[in-house]
Amino acid sequence: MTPKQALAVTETPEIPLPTTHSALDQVPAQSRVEVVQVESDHGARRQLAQLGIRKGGVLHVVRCAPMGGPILVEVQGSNTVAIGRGLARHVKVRIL
Amino acid sequence: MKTLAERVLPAAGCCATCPQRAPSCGVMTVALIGQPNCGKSTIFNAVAGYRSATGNFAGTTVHLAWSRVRVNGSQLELVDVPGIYSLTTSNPTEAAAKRFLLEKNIDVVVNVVDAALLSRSLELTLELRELGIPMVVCLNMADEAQRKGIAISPVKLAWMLKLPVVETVGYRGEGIRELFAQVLAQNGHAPNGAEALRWHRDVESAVERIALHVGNGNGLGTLPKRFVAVKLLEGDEELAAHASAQARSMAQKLRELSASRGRPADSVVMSERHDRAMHLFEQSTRVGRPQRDAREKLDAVLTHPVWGYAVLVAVLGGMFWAIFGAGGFLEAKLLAAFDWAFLRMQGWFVPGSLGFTVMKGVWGGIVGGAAIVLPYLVPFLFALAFLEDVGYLPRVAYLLDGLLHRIGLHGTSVVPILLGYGCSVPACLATRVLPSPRDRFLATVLATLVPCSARSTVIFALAAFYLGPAWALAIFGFNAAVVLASGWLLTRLWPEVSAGMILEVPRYQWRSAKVMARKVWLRLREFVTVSWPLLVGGSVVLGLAEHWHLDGYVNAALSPLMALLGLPSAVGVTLVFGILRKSFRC
Repeated sequence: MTPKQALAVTETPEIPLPTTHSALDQVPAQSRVEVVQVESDHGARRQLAQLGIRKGGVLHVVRCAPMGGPILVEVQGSNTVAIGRGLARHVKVRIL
Repeated sequence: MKTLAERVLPAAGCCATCPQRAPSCGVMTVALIGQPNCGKSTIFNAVAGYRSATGNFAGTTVHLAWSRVRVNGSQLELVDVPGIYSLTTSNPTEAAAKRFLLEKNIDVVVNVVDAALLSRSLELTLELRELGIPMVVCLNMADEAQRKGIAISPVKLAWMLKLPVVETVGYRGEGIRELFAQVLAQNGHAPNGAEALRWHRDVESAVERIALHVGNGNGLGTLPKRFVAVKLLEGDEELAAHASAQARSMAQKLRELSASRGRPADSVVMSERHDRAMHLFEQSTRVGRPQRDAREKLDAVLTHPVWGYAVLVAVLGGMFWAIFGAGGFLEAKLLAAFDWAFLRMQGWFVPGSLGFTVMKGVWGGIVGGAAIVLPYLVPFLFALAFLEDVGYLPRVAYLLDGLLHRIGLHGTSVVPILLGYGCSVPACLATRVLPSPRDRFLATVLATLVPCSARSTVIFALAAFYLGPAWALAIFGFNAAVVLASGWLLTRLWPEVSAGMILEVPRYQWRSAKVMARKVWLRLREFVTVSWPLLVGGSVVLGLAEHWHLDGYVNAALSPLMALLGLPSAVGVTLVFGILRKSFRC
């Protein structure tokens, strides 16, 4: 298995998204977003949900670390969370 | 704290043997349970004395800490349980905490809640409530919640949850006495009657349908049926293994039905819990304007793509220079003082006699510990305690995640590796918060390659003292390169990209020098009580070996090995002692 394949996360059988939504890693810093869908496997989805990153959750994207590093988001009602870029790609959001 | 100490005193004779004694003790067991980094260990230490190391990052506590304490005249067994986000676990530490909770006889659960993160934390509270164990909610860090503009009504929350709620500020010892008064009052009173906390009718009916089959000869002990049914619906494999076949198949059917409607059952249950928690939060709190403080601006610098790294280099470099500066200064002064004292004592013995050799050996060991090890070890442990308590380590993990990805690890591994500079044992234990076995293995290997405080002391005390600080810094730099290269090599042998980091970055916290000093002492105690006496003993043995001219034989026997290592044969004995030291320290 190549590293690329290993990264691909199984998608949940949920309704496909309209194209207006973007992935969390594509959002510019300092924007406020609402989570529309988390397309990762069930373990990571649960972990994210426990920290408040779940459908309907509101996030403030603080910044991205250089060298392909993680994305720092402030979660409403929770703490700041650093999410790896690979995982952030599977968090679909709507810019508020 | 004084008034607290009068009524809440650790009972004498309590020790690490308690886990074995606990089931037969007959005293009530109280477990501190809550989400990671909510201050369980701080509450534990406020009652039991400093026995469980605290820190400001998720997963400071990776094993259960026990203590027998006396509260208002009653003895109780207090257990500090590692943090869990929910009763569905994702790493070995959480799994161990959950097993403890489900399998041991706990009399009262103290659910410690970070009041500043109330809405999120209530989800665990609701889940714990289902266990049917008498329970008290401890709203910890009440001062932080106020600062965030969250005004919580404990009375309303208690009324809605049908559980006692006590506000505390753990590190100042506020509210601890009331908390334990409630614990004693709750013993034997299981939570009941919170109909308002029920879920939507369709989910409830699914739970009921599974619960009907749960009771039939299951191996789940005294767990409430509803709790087991919910866990089966969520797909908890551990519990499913013990449940009856009918319950399992019913849960499976309902899970498939739910998935076919586009919503996996575990998501449904999670959002039900979330809805209830949000409802409780909204009803019991008023959210006002947060007080702005400097901490927010601090993060803008410390996680900045340029300044963040500059600060990281400055912090680590500054730590190095401070430890070297303080240690070098104290070492020189102390050595001079000990030399002066030695010259005075020399007159009492006949030079070359056995008594003189023994005295010289004992003296050498004492001086080695007091003048060479402690001047560097104490400032080092203070610096590490400061970085841990203030909450800087998760920021370092954030900054270095990108770099570590190049060697196939993610930033979370930074925490155990940095802790390795303190001691390898807690560093290896800290890897238990990493989710995948591969990441744990790699981080463990790399953490042991990092020089621990005992080895760092040698680098500081010898290399820096005799060769100059630049050489000592070069040794640390070379070691970092070796660690990175080893990581790179290991990931080539075990190629698998880790799933990606999810790391909670906590608020900054300032801790008093007293709290840090207690933590330093907790770690220093090992050196003072174990390593130092051995150092003195070793020094005497070395002296006697020289006295009877035995060292020559040892050196001769080891000379082939020394030749292989490219070392002069005279260091043979020293190396044996080095190995001994390594095996008893760290």
